[in-house]
Amino acid sequence: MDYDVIVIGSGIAGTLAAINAAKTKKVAVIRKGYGATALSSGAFDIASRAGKRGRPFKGFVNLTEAIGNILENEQYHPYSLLSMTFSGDRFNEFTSMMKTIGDQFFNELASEGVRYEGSWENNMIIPNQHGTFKVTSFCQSSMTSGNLAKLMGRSVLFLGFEKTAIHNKTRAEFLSKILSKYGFASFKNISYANLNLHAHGIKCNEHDFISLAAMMDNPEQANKILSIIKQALDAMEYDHAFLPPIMGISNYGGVAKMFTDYFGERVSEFLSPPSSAPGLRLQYALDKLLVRHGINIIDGQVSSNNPSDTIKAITLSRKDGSSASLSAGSFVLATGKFITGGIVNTKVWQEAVFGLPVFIGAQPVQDAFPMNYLTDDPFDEQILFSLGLKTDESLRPVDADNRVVYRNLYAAGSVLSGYNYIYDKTGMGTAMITGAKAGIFSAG
Amino acid sequence: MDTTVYDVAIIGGGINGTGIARDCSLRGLKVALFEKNDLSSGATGACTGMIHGGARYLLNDIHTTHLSSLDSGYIQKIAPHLLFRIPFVTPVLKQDFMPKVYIELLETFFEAYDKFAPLKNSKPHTKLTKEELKALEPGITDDAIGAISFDEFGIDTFRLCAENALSAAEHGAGIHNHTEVKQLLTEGKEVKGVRVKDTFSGETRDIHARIVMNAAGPWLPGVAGLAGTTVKIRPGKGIHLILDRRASNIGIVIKAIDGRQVFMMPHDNTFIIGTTDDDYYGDLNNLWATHDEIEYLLQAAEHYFPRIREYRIMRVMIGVRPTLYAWGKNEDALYREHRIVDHEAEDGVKGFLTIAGGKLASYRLMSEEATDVICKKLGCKSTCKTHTEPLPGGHFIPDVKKLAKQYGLDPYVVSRIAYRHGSKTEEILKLTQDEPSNGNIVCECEPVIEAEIRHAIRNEWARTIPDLRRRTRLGTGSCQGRRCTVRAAYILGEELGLNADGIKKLIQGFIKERWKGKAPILTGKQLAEEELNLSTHILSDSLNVIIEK
Ligand SMILES: Cc1cc2nc3c(=O)[nH]c(=O)nc-3n(C[C@H](O)[C@H](O)[C@H](O)COP(=O)(O)OP(=O)(O)OC[C@H]3O[C@@H](n4cnc5c(N)ncnc54)[C@H](O)[C@@H]3O)c2cc1C
Ligand SMILES: Cc1cc2nc3c(=O)[nH]c(=O)nc-3n(C[C@H](O)[C@H](O)[C@H](O)COP(=O)(O)OP(=O)(O)OC[C@H]3O[C@@H](n4cnc5c(N)ncnc54)[C@H](O)[C@@H]3O)c2cc1C
Repeated sequence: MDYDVIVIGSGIAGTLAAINAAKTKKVAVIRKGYGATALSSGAFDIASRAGKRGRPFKGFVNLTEAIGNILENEQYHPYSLLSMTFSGDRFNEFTSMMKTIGDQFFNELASEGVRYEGSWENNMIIPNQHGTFKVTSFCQSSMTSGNLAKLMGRSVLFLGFEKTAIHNKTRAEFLSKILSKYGFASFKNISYANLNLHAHGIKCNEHDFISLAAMMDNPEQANKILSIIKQALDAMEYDHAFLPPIMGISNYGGVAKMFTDYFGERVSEFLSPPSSAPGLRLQYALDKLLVRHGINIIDGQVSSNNPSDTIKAITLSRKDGSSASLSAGSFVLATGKFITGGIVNTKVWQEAVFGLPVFIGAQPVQDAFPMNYLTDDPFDEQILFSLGLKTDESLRPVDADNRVVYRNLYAAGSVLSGYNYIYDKTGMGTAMITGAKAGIFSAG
Repeated sequence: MDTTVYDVAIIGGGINGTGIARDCSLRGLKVALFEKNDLSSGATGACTGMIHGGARYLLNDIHTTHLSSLDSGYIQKIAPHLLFRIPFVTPVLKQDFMPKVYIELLETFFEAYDKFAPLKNSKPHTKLTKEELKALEPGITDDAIGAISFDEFGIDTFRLCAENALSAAEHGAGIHNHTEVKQLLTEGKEVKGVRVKDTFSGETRDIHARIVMNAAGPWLPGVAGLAGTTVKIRPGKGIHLILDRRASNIGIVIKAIDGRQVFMMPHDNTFIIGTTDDDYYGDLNNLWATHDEIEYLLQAAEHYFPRIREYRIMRVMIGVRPTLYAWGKNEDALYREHRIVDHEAEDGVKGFLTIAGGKLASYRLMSEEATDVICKKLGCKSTCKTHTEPLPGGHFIPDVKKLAKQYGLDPYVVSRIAYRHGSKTEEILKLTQDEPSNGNIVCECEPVIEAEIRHAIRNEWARTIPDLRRRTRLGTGSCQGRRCTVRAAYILGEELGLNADGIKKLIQGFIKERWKGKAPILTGKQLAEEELNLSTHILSDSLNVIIEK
């Protein structure tokens, strides 16, 4: 046997599975690339379902309540599934398990230079590049001082960069209007400014902040850009200033510290749509974690053609065209949803590596006409995006008759059904906890 | 109150409405045009976008072929920037009925079509062996025994329509976008004008005109009804599938399961497969593609191009043809001929005309005929100039490389503007000098810069993001608006002085509009893009919370 456990996929779910299994077992992670984790905005949603449209959003700031709602009302949610194993107070036992796994994991990330902050009681409201906001539970430390719930009645400033997407009056006013509409007092003052880095001889990509963030990884460039920002901000009046997420990628810890050393908590990063530096910071930190835990990272695409109810080996196809068979005692499938091709649709919908059946809730889904699972209003919750594997309480995928398909296969993360991270805002939370549990289950 | 009495009030801002507005204005008539949604938002914006010579009609409708070819040549002269040549092949498959004979017959057919080629600057046909065909397009099935080639011209129909409106406006016409004709003003059996409603402000006005021209496309029976008259059409719904990239650089003429002809062809940066043709009596303002229509096209395409399902199909485009009424024919055999109905002669209703049927490719000629009728009624003696006078961007083709250098912009960005705006390109580039951020790229797929967007808002009647899409191709690329929707909303908001609610409506409008095209085909690789899209708009931007119904 090549490994005790082979994990397929290295996003949040795969990484947590691998490091948990590696406590006792010899583990390899196989991945064909980066997925949703790297593309994400890097924030950790634990739970904050927005509920019915128009509901004042103060209502979903309460994280404890949001988790409670899921356990009570969403029987197929992986949170509910995992809480089934508890005999006592399901809510308390589940949340304490979640906290233990989460806090441990955030500690590990901090030791790789990416520090997360947040609370298990209340969500934060973080503004983003589009002039709106996102409710989330944990954020990288350079963002948390920008929690809008705490900045009401203050003067805020949005700093943009000319030639990249800029901040302007229309955006700034839009944000302040919608916030006050949702039950928050407005800011005392909201202003905006745009720096022209090109005029300072700094050439950055015109479309996103990634190239600027990457530039900041170089200490000399970081100093230069920081001093331009200092000069600009020192000349302006504000209680809190928001910057795009540009504080480095692989040297995030160092760059973020340069900012706090000078500005303290008066400056924070806002969230940005994909591709964003914070998502990459997270993914790079995960890669380092795998290495630190002595886990073998293998690049390549996994496929399988397994006739029996136990998987002995999978096929690895490398980029150079070569392939190999790798054997293990158990396997964790953490291949993600559509973005990564974890779930595919050609003529029917199915899981891609093992051809496992997929579900929406308890309903097996095969036929390919998508309108059966979509509504005609894109702002409705679209159940097609909850499509994925159904599992038993040990996270082993089952078929339409609820029979475990492979005795030694566990699944975690967004390849699972039962939740819809786009709407229920439990994306990283579910990937994290199912990943950790799948790792523990697979290690036996 | 507007007390002007216009010579002509035109209902409909499709290619026929704007074409007539241009012709009438060039002949010195006083014109007001009303479009309830946006210019080219009806049949015109949903068509295949071919200025073809109408080879399809050669067998049963040679008149249409002749006129189409002639006008294709004229359109090349007046809008040289907007046309692009599409080389086509018609493959013959071994499972076709007597394939060897069939290819000979095809060749004879295209020999006949070659006669029209000089009219439209096309190349004569050639006969390709199986090997030549596979070398040209390896994606074509091994079942092909050979093919006949010919060529046609494609066009950006949105721009063609916008340029006709711009030309009309340059000659004094009033173009009223997002303004619906709700009623006709009548005195006895005479139509004296129109009652219009601004669909944004809700404001209603009466406009007096000596002639009211019904150019409402598939909606024309309803408008005719407002005058108490009837014009029958046979509305034919058609869908196209749109791929995110060019599956091939050549067009392929294929046959569907029922023997109908369907095209697969490159169009701008995309590739389109279409079309279907089915009688349609549903809601014209809310068109959705069905599973049957999509499968019909996919099966046809797969028959000739086996790996087509592996491509990323971004969306479906849906429209309804205002085909002339005929009983007892199947959809395809319906003539594409047109008719200008003089309601005074036919129903005794004075001052009211309807234009029905036809094709995009012959819009100019149809407009000329309609304008002739109008002129005769109004006693106007001027003659038509629309076949010689270039459209506003058609005066010359700008030097892209030089302009890119001069304005410090990416040559590709400038080349796209030059394609859409021809000789007016520099007018747009100049905006980047007034304000450097006007050089920022808003839509990265296409790409489209802020300057072109502001230009469309200031000069081309754009008031919504779908309007901007039609003017500039914003949001038509592979991300389908993921990156540009919110950015564009802020620019529109700024230009139009909208408040937060107004901006919300803009965002909501575009996301809904894109969804109609995306949802029915949300399969295969497009699912990945949509997961990213919803993650951006719903998960990160919370738009489902912010935008209330
Ligand atoms: C744009 C965006 C923004 C988001 N923002 C947030 C947010 O703010 N907060 C939040 O909580 N969540 C957010 N999410 C959701 C969150 O990112 C995902 O739910 C989570 O990252 C899923 O993790 P995962 O490990 O299951 O999958 P992924 O991170 O997608 O990882 C899948 C892995 O499997 C590999 N793989 C797939 N198939 C194979 C194969 N056949 N062989 C080998 N390897 C394979 C891939 O290469 C990849 O490494 C966002 C998602 C997106 C797309
Ligand atoms: C699927 C499809 C494929 C086609 N392919 C081709 C092709 O390849 N080549 C070709 O030559 N032709 C093609 N055609 C035909 C061509 O598109 C049409 O013949 C042509 O566009 C009709 O233009 P129109 O101006 O008459 O109608 P439209 O473009 O429909 O314009 C009518 C306008 O009137 C407006 N309107 C309606 N009611 C009112 C009112 N009460 N007040 C104000 N405005 C109103 C509508 O909003 C609409 O914009 C195709 C058509 C379809 C649907």
